[in-house]
Amino acid sequence: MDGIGRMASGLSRKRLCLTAALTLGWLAMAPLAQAQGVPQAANGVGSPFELAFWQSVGNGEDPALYEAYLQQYPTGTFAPIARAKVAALRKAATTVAAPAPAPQVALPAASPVAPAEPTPVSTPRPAGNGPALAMAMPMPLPAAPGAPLPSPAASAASGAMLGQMLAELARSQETPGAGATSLPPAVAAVSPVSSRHALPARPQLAPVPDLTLPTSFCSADERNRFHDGIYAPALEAAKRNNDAAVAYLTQLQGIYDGYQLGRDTEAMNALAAESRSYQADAAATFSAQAAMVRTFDALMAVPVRPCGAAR
Amino acid sequence: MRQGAVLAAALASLVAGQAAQAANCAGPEIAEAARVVEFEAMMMAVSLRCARAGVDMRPTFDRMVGTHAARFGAADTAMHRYFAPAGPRAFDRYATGIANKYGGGATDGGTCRVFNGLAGELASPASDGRVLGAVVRAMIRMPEGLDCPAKP
Repeated sequence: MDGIGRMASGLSRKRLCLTAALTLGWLAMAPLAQAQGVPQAANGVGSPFELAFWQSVGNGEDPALYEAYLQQYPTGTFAPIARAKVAALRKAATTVAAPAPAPQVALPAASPVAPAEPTPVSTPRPAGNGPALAMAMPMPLPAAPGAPLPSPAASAASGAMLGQMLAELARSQETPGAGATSLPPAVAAVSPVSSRHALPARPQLAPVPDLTLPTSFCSADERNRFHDGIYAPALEAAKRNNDAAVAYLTQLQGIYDGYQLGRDTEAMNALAAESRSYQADAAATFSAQAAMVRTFDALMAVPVRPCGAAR
Repeated sequence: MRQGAVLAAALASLVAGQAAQAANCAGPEIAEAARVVEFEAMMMAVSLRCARAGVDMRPTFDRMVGTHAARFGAADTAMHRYFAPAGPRAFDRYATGIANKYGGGATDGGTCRVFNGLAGELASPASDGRVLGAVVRAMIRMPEGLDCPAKP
């Protein structure tokens, strides 16, 4: 790696640390609450932010990240681990003959080869609400409006860190035991029940002609022809419609009762909704058939008068 | 002021990191709308609790909603349409479920100040809609029941 490359790499790392630290500095208001006696989280970690901070540090190989954690949480849950990690990383850095300069992140709390010590770092914390780490940084604040953003790699890393912290923040506001929001599929009155089961198609109903009885027949044969050619087909159409409607409702009931849907409440609800929706159609077919049956008596009551007489 | 500028830059990096993720969902409109609606509900629940905790962030919350009124309104409309076929009470059941989810969170003064700062950042007239989207996606998990497979 040439000098420019190293410089760019160092600048990138520095910006990453700075961006992350400043972001966390903004979030440092939450640890202030910890100092004010806020009870610990159920997992024993001081606050969700501390946990998020530590998780964001992860298994990184940059001692500045661990130093940033120690700066923010000098007596934190993971402080001993962080100190040991810093010591190990610094030691490793000194044994490798790497000409690249260390990141120029000046954190007063950490010595470049500080051994792991169990005593907390005695860096005074700022009294105000300002970002603690930002105050510890000798570098100017980046990202003023219009200022260039960090490099893509730094942006992705700091973005992931911030995203993790925002997620932790949101989780802290959930009711304990609340799971992920369930978004049930909206089921229309007539729609596929599920990917495995679909509602059967509604039956096609035949048109039933309006039946107008004459005032009289010329003869009994004429009445019979009317019966066979007009009334009977109309009655048959009405009966077929009613039978189809009944069969459809029976089919829905059968699917509803089917063992396959025993645990598919959404499908069962959809079937029940469709059954209710079709009740009106089924009632109409029944009424049409009943009316046609009653018409038979009226047909038989039509008088027979000789042709040529007044009808 | 300095905090705001820093957070804006950090949030911009969040946008860059999530842009590709959002474009891969089979139901992106509903997924996005559901998370926006849930985010607004969470912020409202938090603002109400914070008022009781002595940190009144309701004006900031109102400004945030006003800044992104079109976005929040569109999300609400989309979810109403989504639940319309399931009956007139379906959306109410959904909204009640979200309210219950955030009805019992752990809120203290420190958390309230963080939320207030976040709402203030989003309330800025210069706040980019993409930033709101990035924050929403970071804070609100994908609702269950949506078919949003991972990118192959």
